[in-house]
This record gives sequence, structure tokens and C-alpha cells, in this order.
Amino acid sequence: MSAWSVWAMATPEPPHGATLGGALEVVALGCIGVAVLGLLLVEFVFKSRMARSTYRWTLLLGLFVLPGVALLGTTGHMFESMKTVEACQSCHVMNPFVGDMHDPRSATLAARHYRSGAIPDKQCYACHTGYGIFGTVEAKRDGLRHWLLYVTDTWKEPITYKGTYPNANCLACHATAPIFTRVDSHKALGTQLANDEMSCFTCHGLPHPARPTRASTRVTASQ
Amino acid sequence: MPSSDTLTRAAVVLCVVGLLLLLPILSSIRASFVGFYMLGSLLLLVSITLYVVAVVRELRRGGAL
Repeated sequence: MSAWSVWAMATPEPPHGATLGGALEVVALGCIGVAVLGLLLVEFVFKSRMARSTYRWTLLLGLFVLPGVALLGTTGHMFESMKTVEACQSCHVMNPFVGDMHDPRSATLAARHYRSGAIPDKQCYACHTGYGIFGTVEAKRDGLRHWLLYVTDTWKEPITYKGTYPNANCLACHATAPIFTRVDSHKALGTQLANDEMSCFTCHGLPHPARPTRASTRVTASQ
Repeated sequence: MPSSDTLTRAAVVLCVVGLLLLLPILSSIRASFVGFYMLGSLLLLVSITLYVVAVVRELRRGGAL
């Protein structure tokens, strides 16, 4: 079997059909197009021929309503698109992590989840968001911090996870799944797992490659 | 202090530039495009502020919308 066949089998298919991010993108694009064209025509072509009140009301639409909808659409599209693995990989710092996830021979939790095909497209986000009430806000805050570190080239090598990883993030998907509930040790350790007295990683291994086996995230001139 | 018309024109130009800066993030997610998005959002805010100032000044002079 060729390497390509192994790769094709290990990589789940991308999602098909309409998505929320795609719909917001269309809305934002439409509003931006109409607003830019409208504003330029009204201000630089038709201004002298329009009644003052018409001009003001047109500007109200062009400067408030359309840009407002465009900004909301763009923000929504960005929030949705930023959940994808592709978005995480757009910062080359993430290459060692995403590369491991695509590796059909990798035994890390991230790679095994990716191979299973349950959450391939938004896999990074699925695990790196908190499943509490402010989970999305915290994930976006962390994302902004990571973005700032990346664009200012101030991240520290090697990258380390400084927070705690609650079992609730794993249990959000697995708690009611038969593959989880039918395992006797899960039943026996149920209370400890629920109270974070024992981590899922203790038995199931690391989510990503251990630091010594991971490629450097910082690109140097010699590389 | 610039006239209301100058402020309005500045608001329109800034708004157009701000809207155009939002476009890259819609095509692809990249770190630099996130920066453009933030700058675009800021320009839209400044543009709206300039327009509000222009309209308020005109209204205070006895003009009408």
C-alpha cells in the first residue's frame, strides 16, 4: 500500500454543504460590496445632484447600517473559521502539532481523534475550548493572546501548556458515549474523573507529542 | 476645525478603506489578515465618530438632517 493511500485513509473528508461561516461570509461580502460602491458613488458622483436630506439618509445607511452588518458578518465568519484546524495551522508554530495529528502512525490522543473522523475539521477547537458557560470567550481570549505572541515573535520555545485541562472537556463528548460507559474502569473511576482527581491523560496518553520528540516551532535562518 | 463636509468626506474615505481591510479575512484565515480585520474595525469606528461629529455640528448650526 502506498504512502498516499495510507494518508488518504487517515485524513477524513472535509464537511460538505452550507456552513454558518460560509453564510456569514456571503452576507459580509454583499454588504461590503454595496457599501463601498454606494459610498463612492454618493460622495464623489451624485452628491451635488442629491437633496441634502437624501444625501444624509443615504450616508446613514452607507456608514452605519451596511458597515455594521458587514462587521458583524465578518466577525461571525472569523469566529467560525478560526475554529478550523486550517486556521490553527496558518501560524507555522502549530505545524508540529497539526503534523502529528495527520500522521497515520501517531498514537497521540489528537491523532487518534483525527483518524476517528468524529471532529476532524474543528478538532483543535473542540479540545481547546472550555465547556463551561464562558468557554468560547476564554478560547477566543487565549486565541488573541496566541496571535499577539505570534505576530510580535515573542513566544517562548518550547511551547508549553500552562493551564489545567479539566476532564469535563473530554467528558463533554464521551460521558454518554457507549464506548466510554461500557468500560468498567470508567465506571469505577467515575467520581474521581468527575472531580478531576484523576486525569484522562493518565491512562490515555498525551494529547500531543512529548517535547523531546517534537520539532521546534521557531524557524531559524539555518533551517 | 475642518468643515462638516470635510469631516463627512473623511468619514466616507475611512469607511471605504475600513471595509476593504475586512475583505482579506473573508478569503483566508492568516495571522496578518487578522491584523487587517482589527485595523478595518478601528477605521469603521473612527469613520462613524467623524460622521456623528459632522452631523452634530451641522445640527447645532441650525441645519437639518
